[in-house]
Formats: sequence, C-alpha cells, structure tokens
Amino acid sequence: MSKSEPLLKIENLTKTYGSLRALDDVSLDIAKGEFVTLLGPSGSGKTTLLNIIAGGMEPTSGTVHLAGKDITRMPARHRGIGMVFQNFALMPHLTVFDNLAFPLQIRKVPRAEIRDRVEEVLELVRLPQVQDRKPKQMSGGQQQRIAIARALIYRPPLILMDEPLGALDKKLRQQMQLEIKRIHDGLNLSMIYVTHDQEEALVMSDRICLMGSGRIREAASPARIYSAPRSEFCADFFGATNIFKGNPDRSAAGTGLSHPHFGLIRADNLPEVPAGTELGWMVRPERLRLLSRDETADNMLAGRVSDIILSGPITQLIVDVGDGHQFNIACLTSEEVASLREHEEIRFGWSRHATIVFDGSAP
Amino acid sequence: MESDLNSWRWGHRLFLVLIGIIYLFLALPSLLVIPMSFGGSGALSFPPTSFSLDLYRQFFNSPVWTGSLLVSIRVAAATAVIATVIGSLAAYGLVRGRFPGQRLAGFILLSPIMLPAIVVGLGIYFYFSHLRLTGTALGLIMAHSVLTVPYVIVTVSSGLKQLDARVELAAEMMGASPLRIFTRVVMPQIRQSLIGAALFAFLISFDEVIIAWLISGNNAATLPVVMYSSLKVEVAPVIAAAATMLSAASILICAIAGLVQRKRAMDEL
Repeated sequence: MSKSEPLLKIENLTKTYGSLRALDDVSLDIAKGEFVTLLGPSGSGKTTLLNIIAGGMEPTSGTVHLAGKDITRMPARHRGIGMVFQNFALMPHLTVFDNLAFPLQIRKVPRAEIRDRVEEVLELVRLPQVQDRKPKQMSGGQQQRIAIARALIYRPPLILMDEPLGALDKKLRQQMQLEIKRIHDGLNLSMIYVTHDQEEALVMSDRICLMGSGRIREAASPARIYSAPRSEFCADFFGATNIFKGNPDRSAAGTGLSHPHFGLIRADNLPEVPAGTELGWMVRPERLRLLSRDETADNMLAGRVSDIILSGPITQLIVDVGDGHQFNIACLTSEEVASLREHEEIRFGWSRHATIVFDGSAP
Repeated sequence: MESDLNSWRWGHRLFLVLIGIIYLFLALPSLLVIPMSFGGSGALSFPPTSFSLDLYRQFFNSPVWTGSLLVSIRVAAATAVIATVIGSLAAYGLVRGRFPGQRLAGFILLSPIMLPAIVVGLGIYFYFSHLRLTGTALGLIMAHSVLTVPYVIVTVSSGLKQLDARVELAAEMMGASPLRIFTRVVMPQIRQSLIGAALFAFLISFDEVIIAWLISGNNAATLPVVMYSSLKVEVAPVIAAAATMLSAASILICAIAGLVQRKRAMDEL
C-alpha cells in the first residue's frame, strides 16, 4: 500500500432488495486516521453501507478494499475490523475483563499481556477498576465505554460505530462525543461513524457524508457542509433554515437573485447557469440579525413576529414577511429579544456572504 | 362498590375451592398408591394395615424390576444427551440461519409432537424391524430421541429468541469462528434452557410407555413397560412401590427444572 492510497476504498457499491435500491452506486475513500460520519435519515442507506463494510451483508455489485486487499466477500471474522453497536452488544455472561480478553484470546495473546492490555485500554476509556463487573451492573454510559474499549483492544485499523450514543441521554451523549473524539485523535485511528444526529456529526467528524435514498448526496468537512451546502436536501438536514427560490440577476445594482416578493437578494458566488434558470437559495437563522431604526445591511426585510420560542441560549423568532413567507431568526437570548411581543413589527437583515445559493447540479 | 368487591372475592374463593376438589379427584387415585406401597407384602389394600418396606425390598430383590429400572435410566440418559445435542443445534440453525426450506425443515423436526405416539411408534417399529433394531436399547434410544428432539427445539428456541443476535455479530467481528461463537457466546447464555431441555427429554423418555412397549421387547424392557406387562398378568403388590418411585423421580426432575428456571429469572433481575 502506497502512502497516498486510502485505507478503505469503496467503489460503485449497489445493494438492491427486489426493486428497492438500498444503496445506489456509492463510492467513497477513507484515509488513514480519518473520522468519517455517515449521516442521514433512516432508510438513507447508511446502515446498509456500514453492514457491507463490516461483512454482515454482501453487496449486489461493487467492491470494498481494505489496505489494498479486496474484502468484498470476505467473512466478517477475517476482516479484523472493530465495531461498536448502539445497544453495546457486550457479552452479558462475561465480566468486563473477560469481555475485553475475548478478542485477544482468539488472537492467542499470552495471559500476562492480556492483563496489561485490559488495564491499558480501561485507562484509555477512563474506567479503571471495573474489571470484575458484569455488564448489567454498570450504567449505559459505562457499558458503552467498555464496548469502545473492546473495539480498541485488538488494535484494528478501522473501527465502525453504529449510532453508538443513540441509547444515552443528551448530556451523557455530548460528553461521550468528546471522549470518542479524544480517543480517535490520540490513537490516529480511522473511524466510520453512523448517526442521524446532525449536531453529533458536526462535532465529531473530519468529514461528513450526507446520505439520502441510497446515495452520498454530499461529502465535505463539517464547516463546509454546514456553511456551503450544495443542495436543499443538505441545507435542510442541518436544521431549521430559510429556503427560497429565485432567478440569478447580474444587473448594475449588484449580483444576486431576484425574488418576486423580496426583490433583489444580494449574494456572492452565483453559479454560471443559463438565464432564466430558477435556483434555490437560503440563509441560516443565526446569520440573520435584528436591525435598529437606522441600521442597514446588504439584504433587508421587514415583517411581523408571529412566534417567540425560547430554548435556552438561543431564542427563535418566526417572522411573517408577507405573501405567506416566513423567516426563522435565531438570536442569542437577551433582554432585548425577551421584550419583543407577538405581532410586533421588526426589521432584519443579513450580509451578502450569508446568502447560500445551491448550484443546481447537486441532486 | 365495596359489596361488589366482596362478592367478587367470595366468588374467587369458591372458584379456588372448586379447582381444588377437581384436582384432588384427578390426583387422588395416583396419590393412594403411595401409602399403599408402604403396606404389607400381602395384597394391595387401602388404607394400609401396617407399615413396612417389604414391597421395596421385593422390588430391589427382583432382577426383572431392577434390570428394567437400570434400562430406563440408561435409555433416558442417553436420549437426553442425544436429543439435547441434536435439538439445540437444530434450534440454533432454525432461529439464526437463513436458508431455503427453513420453514419446512422446522415443521418436519417438530412433527413427532403433532402425530399420536402410537402412530410414531408403529412407524418406527416397522422400520426398525427391517433394521433389526427392535428389542435393543439402541433402537429405543433412537426412537426416544426422535420423540424428544421437538421438545428440546421448542425449549432451546425460546431461550435463543431472548438473545441479542448483535452480540454474536460482535463476536464474529472480533474474529471468533462459528464454533467458538456457539460454545463461548451462545451456549453460556442459554445454559438454563439447555439444562431444562435435557431434563425434559430425560423425563419424557423415562415415563414413555407406548413406543417403549413396541420397540423394546423383552430384552430391553423399561420400568414402565415391565409395570404395564405385569398389570396384564396379575396385580402384584410390588407395582405400588415401582409406581411410587417412578412418580418420585418425575417430581424430583420437575422440581429441578423449576429451580433452574427460577434461577434464570433471578439472574435476569
């Protein structure tokens, strides 16, 4: 394997069940040390893709190479890949020590070394002194740490994680996200992480593959996929957004999109498309700001507050701008925002850089 | 309201009493044998006029009775081992596997339960006559294994269905072979089901009289077969002792099976 060659190379994978295409011509390279998230709604194909990599199912067509070797039809037990499951899948009849020793016994590691490695990996997941406990005697978060330790202990080149934090409550989930990230960074591991939680994907990944209807719709770094999604599907998946249509307009007044109700919406980076093509555009709720009486912005609109939703540090305003259009504005919670009343008239605006135009080529 | 509840309570109590009476009516004849077995060695009588262990002495001094008891124990033990091995492997394949004809295979494996014992017995009898297996303990063990495998499959399958298949997938991903997964991951988790199934198979074989009577002949007659034969000739009082011991063994095995199940329930808490 040369240095530039990816650790995992997925080429043209397709999986069909009768007429249903669970996976539709998916190709993806994963570099050594990379943390890749497969993100998508249920039925998007992310679990099917993970199962094919794991060896739990065979694709209808296409290949999977691990470290240059074709593993497409290799039994799971010969692949040497690690896996962490949502429900932990620890062996209930064995103690933590025996659970962790299990993969090492298969590899005929000497007893003394097994003991050392169990201790070492328990340090790593910050759970020393639980060796003699059975899984049922531990909390969900602790069990998941043991499940992660079990995947780490035989040092696989690649670890798959199937919604590993799905069974935990929110606070613990946030804590474990950082823990997994820390372990990943410390060991220079390659990880494929499946989740349907966009926040989790943003926090943890080097790269996010957004999947939908059996295909990878977009693959990019969290910053890029969040701030410059190329499709409405992708923009929509990352949370409440203000998505509209418009026609490209390169008049003297400035480049942007003309909208029948809002007029010209200024935007950077208009894609080259034939005149008259309708394009989608959006602006993230947190990029909108309330304008005081004489403040200006590249784009400005006025409307009436129809709803005020306080959800902690962020307060959401739903604003009717007329003609049936609504904007969702995310403000930091403050006295100023708290003093707003429903039906109150407000002005808001955003910078031209914040207007995201979908290039029309992405599905 | 309260009177409703009261009358419901009384109705419930009456119901329990009724059940008790029916139960006693059904069980009493069998239970009468027990005190009778401790009576004298003369004729069977109830209530017994004296207490003695004469009938038990007679039983253990007769090579016919003791021989049949040993045959019964040997056949039942061998049946339990064979049926548990075959039945649990079949259950694993039926619960976890995916292969064409799976439902049909399950149906065929369970069919000995659905057919009347006399039909199964006759079929095996004609077949074994050709193979010269009638009148041998081996033949009886094989026949009883066919009869008990379905019970093992049902018991072990219900245990397997409680297991999380992802634990086995996890073991496979760690590099475990199918044999290691079965012996180290699956079997320890269904230990109680396996013990229960083996006890059940032992008990069915130990009590079974129809197939045993057809297959075993005189050379390999089991305890129930000897009891049955001796009843046809004359009612020897010693049969009360045999019946009591047979019942005691059955109840003991049921009690063990019950304890094993209870331990499993406790473990799950």
